[in-house]
Amino acid sequence: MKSDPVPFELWERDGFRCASNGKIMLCMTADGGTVKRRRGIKGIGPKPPAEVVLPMLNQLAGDLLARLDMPSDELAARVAEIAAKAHAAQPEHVEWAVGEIDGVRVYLEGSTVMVTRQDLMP
Amino acid sequence: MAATVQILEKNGAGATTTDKTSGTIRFKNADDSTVDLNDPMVVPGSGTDYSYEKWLIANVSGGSYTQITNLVAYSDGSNGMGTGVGLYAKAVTSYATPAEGTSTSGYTDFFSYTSGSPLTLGAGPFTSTGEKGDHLVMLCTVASTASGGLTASETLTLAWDEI
Repeated sequence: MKSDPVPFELWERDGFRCASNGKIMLCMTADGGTVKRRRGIKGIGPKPPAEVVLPMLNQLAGDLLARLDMPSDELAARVAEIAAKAHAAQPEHVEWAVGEIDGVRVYLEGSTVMVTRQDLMP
Repeated sequence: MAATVQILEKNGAGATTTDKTSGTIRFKNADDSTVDLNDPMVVPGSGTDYSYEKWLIANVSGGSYTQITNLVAYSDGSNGMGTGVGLYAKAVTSYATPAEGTSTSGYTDFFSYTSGSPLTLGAGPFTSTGEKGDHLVMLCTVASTASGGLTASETLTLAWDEI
């Protein structure tokens, strides 16, 4: 299961504003530069896995009643397919650090750095 | 340590809250947060079936932060719920008991709100814990052209700036 990313910590020292998640750090000069977190929760409202799995279980039950001699390989594959659907997608927490100076923005996500003038959202 | 932000669903005259940060938001013909098959929306013979409104709001339950600004919500920009099924949204400051929709007047197609053009729920700055920004009020519609059964799910994104 994917773990949530670590939020950036912000601080200011020696004329720099900085953000770090323990793996990567962004520092901007404090005179005119800003650093903030841009955070988000993506994927709120996923479908509950039970509603995906239940029709498949019903279908399998019907097929088994009709074919009690279903080969074990086929049965195992059907059960595995159902088990795979039981893992519902969970909302994804997004943790960015955003530095900005003179209209140029620097985005950090994980170990990825993007520099643009665009105001990007997660 | 950053703020701990939840998305809450509010129901009833008493605004009973349910944490839906990791849960399903079920549009139905009743005002409750339960994810079940009771009070389903139906495909009408003609016209449109409107769900009850869903009143959602961001809530800071803990953590440590200075201020939150630029609270927004948006979709992936593509309606994946199928022909005849719509989702609409608006921002409302004060809570009112969720009612069954009668039209989409005052609402905007939720899928028109994207990361490049999100629905603003509050510029802020917001501080401390508790509910922050406007309510995100959503309405689902089912037209006679829709197919029956469970629709594919759609998801929303809540985003904000924080220092």
